Amino acid sequence: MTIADSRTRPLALSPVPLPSPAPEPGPTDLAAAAEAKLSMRGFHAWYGDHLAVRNVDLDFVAGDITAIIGPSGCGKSTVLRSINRMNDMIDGFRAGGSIVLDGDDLLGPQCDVIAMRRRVGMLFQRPNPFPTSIFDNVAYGLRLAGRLPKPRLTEIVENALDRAALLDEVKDRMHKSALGLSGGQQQRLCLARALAVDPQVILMDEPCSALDPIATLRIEDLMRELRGSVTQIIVTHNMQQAARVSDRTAFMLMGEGRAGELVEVGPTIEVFRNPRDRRTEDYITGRFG
Amino acid sequence: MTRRLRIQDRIAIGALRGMVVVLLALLVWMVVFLLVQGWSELTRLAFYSSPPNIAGPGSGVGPQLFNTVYVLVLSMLFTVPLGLAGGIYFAEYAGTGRFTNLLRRASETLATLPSIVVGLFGYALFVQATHSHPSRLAAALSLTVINLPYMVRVSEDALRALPEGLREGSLALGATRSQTIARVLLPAAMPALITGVILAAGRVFGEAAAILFTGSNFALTAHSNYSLSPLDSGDTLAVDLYVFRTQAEPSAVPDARQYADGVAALLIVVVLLFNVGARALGRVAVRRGRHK
Repeated sequence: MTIADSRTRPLALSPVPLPSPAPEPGPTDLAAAAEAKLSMRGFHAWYGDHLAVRNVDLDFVAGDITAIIGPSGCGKSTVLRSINRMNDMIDGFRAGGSIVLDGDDLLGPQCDVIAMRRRVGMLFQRPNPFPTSIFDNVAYGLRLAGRLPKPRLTEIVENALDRAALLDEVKDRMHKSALGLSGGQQQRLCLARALAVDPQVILMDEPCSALDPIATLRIEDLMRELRGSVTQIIVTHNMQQAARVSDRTAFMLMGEGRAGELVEVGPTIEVFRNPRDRRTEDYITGRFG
Repeated sequence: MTRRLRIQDRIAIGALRGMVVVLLALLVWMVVFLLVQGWSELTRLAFYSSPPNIAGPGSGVGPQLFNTVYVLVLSMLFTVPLGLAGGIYFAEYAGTGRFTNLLRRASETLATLPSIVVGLFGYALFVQATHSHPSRLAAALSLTVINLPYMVRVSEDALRALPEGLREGSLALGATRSQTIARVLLPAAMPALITGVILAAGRVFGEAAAILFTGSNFALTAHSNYSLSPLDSGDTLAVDLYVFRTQAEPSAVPDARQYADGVAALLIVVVLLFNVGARALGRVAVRRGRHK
């Protein structure tokens, strides 16, 4: 596929016909669907001709932390990065189905991607502060939208740093480079940067994989504090982390034709203590993966 | 066995050291030779203040020194924005299609053109086709043709070398691609860009062939050309060196050789000062960027 093709074709519209609705209902529980902030229905994703994710139905409950776990290559990052359309930049990527946030279909052609990304923040695997000052990092998203009076800007920046439990450590050097911070501090700065634009959803793509255990626990503490005010979705390789921090857990696995599929989803306690699917049990008890 | 390896290792290191010494010796010998040869001119005050005169003795470099800097600045005014735009296009917008390949091939071909060919092309396009005479503007444009591919390449490489996380981090906060480029990527790439601009500018000092037809007046007019008009002609130091070593009548200009030696020494000194000064400027810019 050439670039011209992928540019001119709306990414959300799939040229491959979607399979007819699954004969048996997907592993979605009805209670979650009722309280969902964000819902995926019949989600598919392709990289070129390769089907990477097949028919995922998932509901993310408002204010909850949902963990997506599964072995490498099961499509969990693809699912996460499709929500805020970060995969649009990849040549040949296409998504089908729907992802609905408060009634708006994020995959549809009428979705304003720029505006949507202010509602859906993201934390990446490696801390990625901009090579500017701590203050400018947090103010970045606010300044994109337009000018704010300086006192108001300062207030929002400090509030965001406070919510990310970083304010006390940096308030004396707000105008020093962000690159002078430790890895854990940098990741909390990135969280503050995301929080500054007041998103309703935060996506986290293995946010602790580059951090030491102490910095990891601090991020997890913050996630718990944000519970209720922000809907959080975390992709993690670390099953203990999913068990510690999440309200609900979704387990994905590579299925037929190396396409990722959702195996089961439910309250974290149930998925870990009493999995419905044999494959989930095998993965959680460490029999593979 | 290990003994043999150790001896091999010593020989290799010795050979490398020897080559470095030869290289350094060559460089030092050249610089010292030029400075010694040109010393009498470098220390003559009138050398800096007088205008050049191909028809008589006692020439100076005043106007050419001024003109060299003028043409350098003028050509960078074209090269930097155009080269930056090209680099941004290749690094951020162009994909891997056939059209992009064609563009890239064209840019690389441009980079390998001999500068004398660019000079003739510049003469045909900027001088003849516009029914004008050689001028600083035509010279600066020809130099831009020479430096543009290099500037495009440097800008593209500087942007590509940035971690992908910067790009994604900005986009994920709701920035457009152009906002991402202007507010995050270009500032982050600034140190590499400054180095690239310095090296491109340095090439202007040494370039004679491209200016010979497009901007030179062959030191024929005795007027001291300190004018500010881009449409006036004027020699740069490198062109002046060529003109006096090839065009001066020995009977009329007995000191042509001596004068040319002075120009060569001055070129070395200016290039050296320029590189050192510009690098210091780059360091300051980087430091300020970091602490801002």
